[in-house]
Amino acid sequence: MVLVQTAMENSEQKAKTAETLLEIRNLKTYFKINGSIVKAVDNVSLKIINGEILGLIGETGCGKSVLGLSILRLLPENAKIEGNLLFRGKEILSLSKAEMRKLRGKEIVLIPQNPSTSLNPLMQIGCQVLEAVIRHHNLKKSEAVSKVLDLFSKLKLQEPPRKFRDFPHQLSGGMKQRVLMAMGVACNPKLIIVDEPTKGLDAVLRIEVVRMLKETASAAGTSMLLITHDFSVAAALAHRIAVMYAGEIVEMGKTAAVLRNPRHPYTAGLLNSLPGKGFNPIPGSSPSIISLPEGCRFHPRCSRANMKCTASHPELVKLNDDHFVRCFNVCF
Amino acid sequence: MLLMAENLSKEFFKGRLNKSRIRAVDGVSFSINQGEIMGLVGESGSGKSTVGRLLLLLLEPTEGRIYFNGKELTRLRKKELQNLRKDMQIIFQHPQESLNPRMKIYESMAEPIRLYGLADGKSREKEEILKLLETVGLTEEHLERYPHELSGGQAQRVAIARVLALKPKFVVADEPTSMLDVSVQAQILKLIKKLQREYKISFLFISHDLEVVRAISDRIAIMQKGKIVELGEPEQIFSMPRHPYTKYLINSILNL
Repeated sequence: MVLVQTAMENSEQKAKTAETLLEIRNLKTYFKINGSIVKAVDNVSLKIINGEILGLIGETGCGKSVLGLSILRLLPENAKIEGNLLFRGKEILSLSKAEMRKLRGKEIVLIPQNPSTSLNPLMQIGCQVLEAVIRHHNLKKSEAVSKVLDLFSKLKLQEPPRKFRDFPHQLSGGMKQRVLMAMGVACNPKLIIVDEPTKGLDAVLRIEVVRMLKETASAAGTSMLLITHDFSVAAALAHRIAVMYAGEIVEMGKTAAVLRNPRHPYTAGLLNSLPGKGFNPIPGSSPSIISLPEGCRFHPRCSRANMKCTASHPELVKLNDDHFVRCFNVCF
Repeated sequence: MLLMAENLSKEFFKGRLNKSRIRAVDGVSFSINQGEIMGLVGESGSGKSTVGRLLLLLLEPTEGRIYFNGKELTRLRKKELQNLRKDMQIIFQHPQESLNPRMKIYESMAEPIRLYGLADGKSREKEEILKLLETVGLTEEHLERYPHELSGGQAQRVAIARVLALKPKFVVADEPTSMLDVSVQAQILKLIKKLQREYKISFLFISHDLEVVRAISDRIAIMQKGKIVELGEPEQIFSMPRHPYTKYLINSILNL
């Protein structure tokens, strides 16, 4: 008994001292559009430790995908990124383009949303995965091919040698998703950024993708930034959840705490608008990032808003050891 | 009973020389009462969208009969069918794609009204359109915009308003919220519920999202490989599924 306890304490301590894999400090991603500045990501700070899955939840246009792409510096020329992005203690933002290319696809990987437009329609899918393997490993072609076939069978793509020669249009949506996954995990990355892995999939495929991500994460101890708008996917996978609204993180904490006891009115509103809870939409719609409301960005839609919310902008405050909220009138 | 499908089937031809056939819908029978929302659930490729299109005769059935309001649709002449079209409408999955990108919202909304001569004179037309906008929760400022200047939720409201202009009896809603965010989804579902209550419109609500269908439907039909394998009230289907496929679907729901 005592032994078990100390073992547990040990593992807890390990978790506490676990190495930070990615630390984002005051990240701002701005776009210059027609002379005006659009703040897509505004002062976001977060940490992902080794082996952790962080769910990033938000609605269309809140900046969650831009945040993911900022980490990989895969943004168009008119984007400006400020702040610090520390990956294993090293600043990413100051890396040269060549250094960044070495990191991207090997240590940090993106599994993009929309599998059907992310594959080259004119290339056999096996060769597309092969590209990633050959680029980052010093393997002979034959060795690389067998590695790809191995990956395919691990991800339960039937008859790997035949699938290798298939073109994207011959695969279903779920299979394409798996091919992208194979590409992603091919180089044993440290961090996978998964952008909306279940968008547009039906319930059966969705649970399959969730299972696949879970297995990938636990088998290799890979960390993930899981970008999604689906609470149930985040609940099934993520250790912690960050909720984004209009470019900012409004709530962040352990998955169970955020889902069972949402403290920000926006999180509570989102959870309340799930179909199982009847039909209780949040009034109004998300603000355009070009013209944000004064004060708290959520106040025009918030039932708890008062004078203070219209006048000043709340900071992200610590509620308890692992739960942060950006609100003056926290829900209880 | 407003609508009844009897032994409905649809075969598509494919392959070289159209030699192989796919039976997308295979002997489907069901009925929808007035003011009822019938949910139709199944995996991608189960044939649920094809059923929706067959009911409106947007596709010609290979076999089977459809009765709408006591008339057998499959035997009507083109002209008669055209008049009936006013009563049976469809809302699509991608609202932005179902609106003409080169028309302002006002023009898009005026189109069905003009087509069926539902308002005499410009001022009546405008009046009618403003009334519709209010019903779906949009305002006059949206009228001068183009579809790309609307959000997904707003575009879906416009699509619903256009359908509503014709005062239909039956609407096929084909995955109307699958591209929308949860909070916007709740708004659109609430609107559909309101249309059912206030205008007694019947819906065939097609979706792959079991939770959504459970929340909105009066009855649910489960489709697998072109066949309806189970049909019943939501509570019964979710608490006591009979068919193994229904059980399989329900087990694949991710719980919060």
